[in-house]
Amino acid sequence: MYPDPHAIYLNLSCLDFLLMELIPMSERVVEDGRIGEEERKGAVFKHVEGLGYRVGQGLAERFSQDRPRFTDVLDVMKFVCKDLWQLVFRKQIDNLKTNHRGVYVLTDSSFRLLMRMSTDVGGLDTITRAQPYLWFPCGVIRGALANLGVQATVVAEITGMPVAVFHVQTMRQDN
Amino acid sequence: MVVYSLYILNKAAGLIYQRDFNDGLQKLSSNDYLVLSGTFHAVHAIASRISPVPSSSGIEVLETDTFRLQCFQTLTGTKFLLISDPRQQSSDTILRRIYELYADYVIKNPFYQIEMPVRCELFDRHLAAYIKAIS
Repeated sequence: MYPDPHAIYLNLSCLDFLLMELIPMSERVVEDGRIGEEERKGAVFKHVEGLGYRVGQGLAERFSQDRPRFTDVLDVMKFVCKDLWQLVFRKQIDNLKTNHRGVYVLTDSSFRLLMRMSTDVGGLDTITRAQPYLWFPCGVIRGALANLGVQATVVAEITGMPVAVFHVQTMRQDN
Repeated sequence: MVVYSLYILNKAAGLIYQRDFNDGLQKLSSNDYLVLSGTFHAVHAIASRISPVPSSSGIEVLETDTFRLQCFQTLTGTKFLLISDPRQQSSDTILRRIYELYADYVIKNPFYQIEMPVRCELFDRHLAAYIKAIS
């Protein structure tokens, strides 16, 4: 899609393993015996989402290079759903919904990071434990949007494995 | 094309996965399975030592009248044992495919601890589907 004559190829599994290890690493980094469970989760969220934010910013910078100017917020969202997702997760977002008041819902029905996850208990347990793995992509979305001029907050939820739904709340009114 | 069962042994000869695909097999206790796998690992090690040819890779195939046992040892020391019908061809391909499934749904599962017993729903599901498809 972006033919780069100087491209060096890297095995995709490396990215899978790196993202997998990101969460336990963040939990170790944040570890402080004095803080409680909720605070710890919040700290891990901040850490991981922050990492995603920086990556998202960089990706938006690099891959919006040869594009024509974005016309409106919806255009930016389409860039995230199609181009950005294709780059990072090798597929596009399956569904984009909006209420035309600044809220966008992105659905990925076979989210790459969730495709290989399962626990022995299954069901709700897997969903709860997989939640932290969505924080990094949330940050990526937020960072990409921010660098393209759209301030937003992003939260994600898992409706059922491996479907990931991202709720983007933009600050500006979309007219 | 009948596959009877699959055993996965970790580096320390521990049995981390055992699955029977045929209902006609005799049920053993979990202790028996552990003993079987430990025994195989030991015999495998002995065979590779006493081999007249240097740097032998150990037992690969064990054939009897009633079954055929094929062992696939990965570079990381994990052993995949496939017990099948003696006339079964292409146990090799089957083992490779199972190794692929293992790499995808067990190793790439963030909730799985390496060398621990395999309890991954997706691995079970995909393995069952694959074995069903080739039987």
